[in-house]
Amino acid sequence: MVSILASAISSKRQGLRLWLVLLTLWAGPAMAEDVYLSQEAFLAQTFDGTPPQPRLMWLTGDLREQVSDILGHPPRVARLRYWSDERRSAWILEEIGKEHPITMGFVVEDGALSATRVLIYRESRGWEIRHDFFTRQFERLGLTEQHHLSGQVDNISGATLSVSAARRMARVALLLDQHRQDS
Amino acid sequence: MSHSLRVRVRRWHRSAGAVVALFVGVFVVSGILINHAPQLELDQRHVASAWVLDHYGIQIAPPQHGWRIGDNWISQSGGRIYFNRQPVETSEPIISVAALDPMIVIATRQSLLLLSPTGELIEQLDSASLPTPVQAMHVEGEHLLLHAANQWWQSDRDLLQWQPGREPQAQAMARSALPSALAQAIADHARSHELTWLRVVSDIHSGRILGPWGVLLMDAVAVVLGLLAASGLWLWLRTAPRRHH
Repeated sequence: MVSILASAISSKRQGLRLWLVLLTLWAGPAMAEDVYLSQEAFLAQTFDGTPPQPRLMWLTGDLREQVSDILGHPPRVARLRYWSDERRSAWILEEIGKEHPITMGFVVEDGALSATRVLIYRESRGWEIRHDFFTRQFERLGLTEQHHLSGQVDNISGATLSVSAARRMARVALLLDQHRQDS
Repeated sequence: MSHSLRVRVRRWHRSAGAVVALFVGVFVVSGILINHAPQLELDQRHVASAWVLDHYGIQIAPPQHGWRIGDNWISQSGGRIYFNRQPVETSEPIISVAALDPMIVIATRQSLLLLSPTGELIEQLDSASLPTPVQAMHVEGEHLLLHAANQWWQSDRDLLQWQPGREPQAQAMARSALPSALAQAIADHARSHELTWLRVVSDIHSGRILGPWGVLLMDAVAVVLGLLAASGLWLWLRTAPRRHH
């Protein structure tokens, strides 16, 4: 970005170009990052203050294909870290709503979601999904054989893409927990 | 007097309408495009046209240096990290690169990116999983060493745990001069991913495409359009047939 500005300043029509570049920077799709809950706090809440050591899960083979089917695109990374004890597992996932990734935390207990939290929200609209009235809807939902949620999660007007991303991440968290227990 | 005023207003109305007709066309087309930008994916499509990028003054100099790992190059341009010519991630500046067989590890101040030997992103670790801010990185055997918070930290094999470690003896991987063809290809890619069509159409709609004077020009056109509406209404009221009771 510095090189763009430097170039604009040195151009012949520097006044016009610099104005346009500055305007582009000012009016462009800025990525504001709202952290609602840190990863450390989410894990501490989930595991009563003492989270276990993280473990790794590779998204390869059939699992990668299943995750891709849910997301509608290949997963961004090839492996994920998760946290688990005898009763539950915790997953921190990222998915793009419209332009920027939303970071959410999911806790799975006995094959059903027991907690859903928005950790970081970066989109310009749709932040309403962070509220309890929305995340509460995921509680006690499991995964059907077709890898859909076992119950309804209502849409929020104006936050359709964020809601959709949250649903996809919830399905992935449940699928990964199934895979964890099977392997 | 009234007749003369009506003639003058009608003349002005016709002339002003003809003058702003072109701008109205621009308003209409660009406005419809902006309204349907999500469906048309204008915010996802990037401008590759050289003259448009030149007009915006967007120039990206080819990166001079990169880190060579075997036959592959890691470099950075326009805020993106590249594996050879392939963009990997948008990122803050690279601090160091290391080969942790079989992975390639790229360190920035706040994160580590782990790449496969073919450039796929394996994992991105942030400050929740790392000692940060990272100031330096080395590899010793199967362990990654990070210098952060004024001390050295050593990882386990899977980079899951970090413990205080000792200062490494070996030198960090040094940067080398990038091959010029690769550097130019990277700069071309980075340049053609800086500007979206939505920004261009929005700037045409507002007049910003012509700079500050363009905005004032569109303001003037908008005022004229308002006056046209007023004069049109006035003329219609003055010439409307009167009802006879």
